[in-house]
This record gives sequence, structure tokens and C-alpha cells, in this order.
Amino acid sequence: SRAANGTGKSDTDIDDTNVIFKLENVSVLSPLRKKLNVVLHLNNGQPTLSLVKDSMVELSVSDLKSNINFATFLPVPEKPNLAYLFIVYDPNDNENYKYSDPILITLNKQHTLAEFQEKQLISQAKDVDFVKCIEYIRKQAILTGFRIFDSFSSTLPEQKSFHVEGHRGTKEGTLYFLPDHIIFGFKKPILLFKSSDIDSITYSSITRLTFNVTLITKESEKFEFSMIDQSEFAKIDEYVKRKQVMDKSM
Amino acid sequence: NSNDESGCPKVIRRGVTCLLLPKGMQRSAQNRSKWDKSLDLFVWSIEWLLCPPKNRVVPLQEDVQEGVQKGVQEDFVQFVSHRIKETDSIVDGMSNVVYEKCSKLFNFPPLEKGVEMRGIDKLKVLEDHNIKFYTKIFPQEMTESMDSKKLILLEPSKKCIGELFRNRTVIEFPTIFVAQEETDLPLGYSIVEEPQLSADIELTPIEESN
Repeated sequence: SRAANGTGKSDTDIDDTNVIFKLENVSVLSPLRKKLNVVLHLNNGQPTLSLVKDSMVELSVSDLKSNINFATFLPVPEKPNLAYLFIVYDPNDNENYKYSDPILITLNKQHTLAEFQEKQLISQAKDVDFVKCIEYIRKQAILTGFRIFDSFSSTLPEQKSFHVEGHRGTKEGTLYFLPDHIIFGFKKPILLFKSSDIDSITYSSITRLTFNVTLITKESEKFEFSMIDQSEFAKIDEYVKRKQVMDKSM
Repeated sequence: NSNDESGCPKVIRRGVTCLLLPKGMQRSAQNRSKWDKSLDLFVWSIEWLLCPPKNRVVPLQEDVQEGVQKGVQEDFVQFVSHRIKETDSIVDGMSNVVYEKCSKLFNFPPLEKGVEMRGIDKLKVLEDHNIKFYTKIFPQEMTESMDSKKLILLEPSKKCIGELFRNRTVIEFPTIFVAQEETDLPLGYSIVEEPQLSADIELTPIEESN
């Protein structure tokens, strides 16, 4: 399923000489579901992020500084051996490609660590863990112009992040509360809010076990998330107060 | 070190033109080719790119979990091994790790535990399974693109790595493509014949023609 790219393959192919950093055969869940290579490379001298399979480029984002809107590592609920890498880019830069959904990658911590150690990108000591891979990837990103957040690993109280399970309509998903963002994922469409864009919040349908949360943006758009466990209420309420979002519940 | 018009520095190591990438790029960081004092010879880092047969389909892990009966084309396997002696042939320089990866991809018996498999036996298995080895060949005159998608066949056992790569160009260190069929190679790659050189041209090392 090659992207409709009229310029032909040679323009988008990545020379080995231009590869800055490559993660081989990682499970990409969005914008397409496929095992792909994630490559940071130079394209006409400019750092570029591409998803590649068998020398076919599926997606390419250039001018990373302005075109990557948001990127973060996230935990995968109930799967401590996995981590998500979530990247939101400006789809307008991608006229050559048919995708506009954000990039979502699952990394197997053990495999990634083994790959990094085998490639000598990080120390080969036995006590090294996946945090070193995160550090390495974040450095590569910074060098090429964008920042990848990692607030879930942070010990700073103001960085404190958490996630809760919930539903949006019939879709089950996870609400991630980050220092400045709220994400609902990961069935499409993935929702990303800046917490500063959220005007108010209401709690409703409060039962003994669950409750619903409705986020209302400054543009008065409403997003309801249902069936959230009662035990998560305190965390969400504290987050809301800290962000000075208005609680409009009765 | 010398720079050509494209600005990519190169160095000739043991008669091999090595294009050097900026420090910090992954392939540069991985390169541990060096002179080994104790062995008194040069040892190379070598990238192996194993190309599984096109018809080989494996189930996707997520699909297995979801009980879906479908598969995807088996992935290429990339592996960099280090300290490969320039005096070894490809088969001798193929570490057990690489051999094991091949045995999985090309369906031949894995190494028996505790049994040292000699080069000659490995060669027979590889030949029986029609395994061929290729490397990139670079045009004499570099164009804008520093990389190459043209491959030439390598002799697996009769010539040593030092001989096979002499007067060739590599990006940091050699890459050896391993495949049964030409059609299994990554998209865009093609096999070319070794340019026929007359005897006196062959004697002219590449470094002097630059």
C-alpha cells in the first residue's frame, strides 16, 4: 500500500549514508498498522522522520521543528513490557502521503533494549534498562528539532501523569493525563487536547462504581468519556483543580 | 582522509574505500573495524542483511493474540557482527549467531549444541539451500546519491574478505546481502555483473584514480 507519491521512489528512498537513527521492524499501529522501520534521516540535508518498509517510504515528516506538534512516550495499560511512542505531526506537510492520523508505535522494552545494546548505542552493562533507550531516542529527537515528552517516568510532582480506563461511546480506551495535555486513545480517532484549551469539566452519571467525565473545550465542543472507575475520581479531580479548569458539575 | 566534491569524507582502509559518515550517525557509531594488534590483522564490522524468501509468511504477533489467521511477509533480518578477520572467507566469517538466523529464515537445520560446525560443512548447507551473497557496488564516479542499489555476487568460500572487498567502496563498513533468489532482495536493488576490467586497469587501485 504505497503512498500516492507522484515523484517516484528515488526521491523518497533513504540512502544508508543519510540515516541518523533507525529502529528496525517496530509495530506501528497508526497511521497504518504494519511492522515498519522508523528512521530519522537527512533528506536534502534536512532532518526528516520517515516510516519505511522494504525501501518503500510510507510516510515522511520534514522540518521536524515546526511540523511535529507533539510527541510523547506513554505506558501501555496492563502491559508493563511495552511502551507507546506517540507523535502528532502536521498532516499538511504530507501532501505526498495519504496519511493524516498521528503516529503510534509500540516498543517492546526488552527487544528495544537488546537492539540498542547490540548496536552499541547504549551501555551493554546488565543493569541498564529501557530508560536508557528513551534517553537515547529523546536526544536524537532534540538534535533533529523536536522534543519527545516522557512525563510518566518523571519523579517531579508537577510532571505527575496518570491514565485511567474509560469509554467514548462504545469504544474502550485510555485517558492519559499529562502535564499539559490529555490524550484519549488508541482506537481511531485518537483525541489530543491541550489542557489549556479545556474550559470546563463536568462529572455525571455517578454510580457506586463508575462515573462519566465530559471535557468542554474553549470552542464549546463536548467530549464525554464514560464508565470511569470511581477510584480514579480523586486523581482526575486533583488534576482539574491544578489546571484551574472549571468544574461545572452540579 | 580525503573529501570528494560531495563532501563525504572517505578513508582507504586495507584497500577498501570507506565512506565516513558524521560521528553520531548510527552506522558510524556501530563501526568497530580496526587493526587487531594481537591477531596482527585487520578485523571488520560487517552488516548482514538476510532476505527471507518472498513466499515466507509469518503470523503477526498481535493477530495470534486476537486469533486472526493471517500473516505478513517475513521481515528482513539485519545484524552487525564485529571482529570479522580479513583473512576469513564469508562462510568462515559468518558467526554462529548469523548462521542461526539464516537457518530460521531459509529453513535449514540449526547448529547442534556442542558440535563445532566447520566452515566446509556450513558451506555445503548454504550451497544446498542455494544461499547467495551479495554486496553493493558503487559507481566509479559518485553522483549526488552516495548510496548504491546495485549488487554484485560474492564468492563465499574461496576468497577471503580482504580480497573480496579490496578496491570496493563501503559505507563505513561492508554490508553482505544474503538471499536465495534475486527477487527476495529489498525493493529497488538489482544484481549487476562485475564490470569487466582489463588486466592493467585492475592493477590500478581505486584510490589513485580519485
